[in-house]
Amino acid sequence: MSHQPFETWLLEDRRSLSEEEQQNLQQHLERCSDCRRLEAKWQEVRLEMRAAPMVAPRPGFSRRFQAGMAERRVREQRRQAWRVFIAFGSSAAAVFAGFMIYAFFFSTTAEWVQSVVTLLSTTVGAAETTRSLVSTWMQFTPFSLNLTVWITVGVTFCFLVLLWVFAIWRTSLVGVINK
Amino acid sequence: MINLDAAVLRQAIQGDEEAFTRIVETYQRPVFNLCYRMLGQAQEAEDAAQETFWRAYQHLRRYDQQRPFATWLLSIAAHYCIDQQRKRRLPTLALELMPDEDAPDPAPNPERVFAQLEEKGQLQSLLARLGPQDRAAIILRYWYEFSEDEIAKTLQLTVSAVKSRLHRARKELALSWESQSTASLAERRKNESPAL
Repeated sequence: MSHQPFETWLLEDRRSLSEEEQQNLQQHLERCSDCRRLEAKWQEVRLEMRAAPMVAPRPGFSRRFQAGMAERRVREQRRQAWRVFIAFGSSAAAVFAGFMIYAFFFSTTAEWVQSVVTLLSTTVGAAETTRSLVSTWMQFTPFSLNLTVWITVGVTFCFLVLLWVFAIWRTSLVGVINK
Repeated sequence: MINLDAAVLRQAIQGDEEAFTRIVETYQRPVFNLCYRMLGQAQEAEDAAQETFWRAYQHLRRYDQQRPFATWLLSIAAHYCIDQQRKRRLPTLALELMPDEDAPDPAPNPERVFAQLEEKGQLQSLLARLGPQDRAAIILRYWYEFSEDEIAKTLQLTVSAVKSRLHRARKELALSWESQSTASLAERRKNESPAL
């Protein structure tokens, strides 16, 4: 015996069926014990589900949520800080690797050596120029002005170093606050 | 379903934590119930409900205010529980961790409590036989009175997919219920005293 479409109908909301469909279903149920049993069992389950209450969490759920939220926020901030570090680190590594690959494929060993020597001589030349500029400056300016300039430069440098150290410490320990 | 004050929701979206706590207080029961019916264990349901609210808090700015807030929140809970179900494969049920009910009986009656626990256990074990998405569809239909369209939106399925999932789940539940009651009857007969 075919159970379709009766099986579909009996598992649906009866109100969605037309009068004719309901009559056909009723006639089929009178003849078919399998569908009758299925219908009876489905109605029992449906009633069980309708009677089952909404279960509530243990008291203090929102308090636990607030406590958990503070922990999660710290964790999330640390995770974000790590993401920033990893992103910067991997970008720097990628640029360096790209440069090395480019140099490996498009330069000979002689060119490498030449580049290194040129870089070193340029650096030494630049340092020498700076030194002569500084000594000329010191010869032609009064001592008090020199002292002021050196103190300003020194303090600024120390401040920047401290700022950098603090930024690293804060980002790694507390994370970036994203409001 | 509970309706939330629009002003509270607006405040929460603007970052007011107190307003969000009010949202948690308002929706803790429906969210917890969904998680509990999906996962079958009170502790897991607690964790899932907490995770749901955390995710909602994180993505509150993305919430489309044209959509009912409860549907959006339950959608997060349902998806999280479906993922958890897929991860663990074998559902378990801990009767000793049953959470509080809506209306606790003022007069404790051990037999009645046991019968209730047994019924709840039976219902949960029936639900546990369904696939995660079928289970979510059934829970949304019978505990939250969601229409097929609302279930489709919540679970990100088509309406026809919801219809076929509901049909399959109802049949599975009816057949499982039949086999469960047959087994329970046989067990009761085995334990009956011959003198009675």
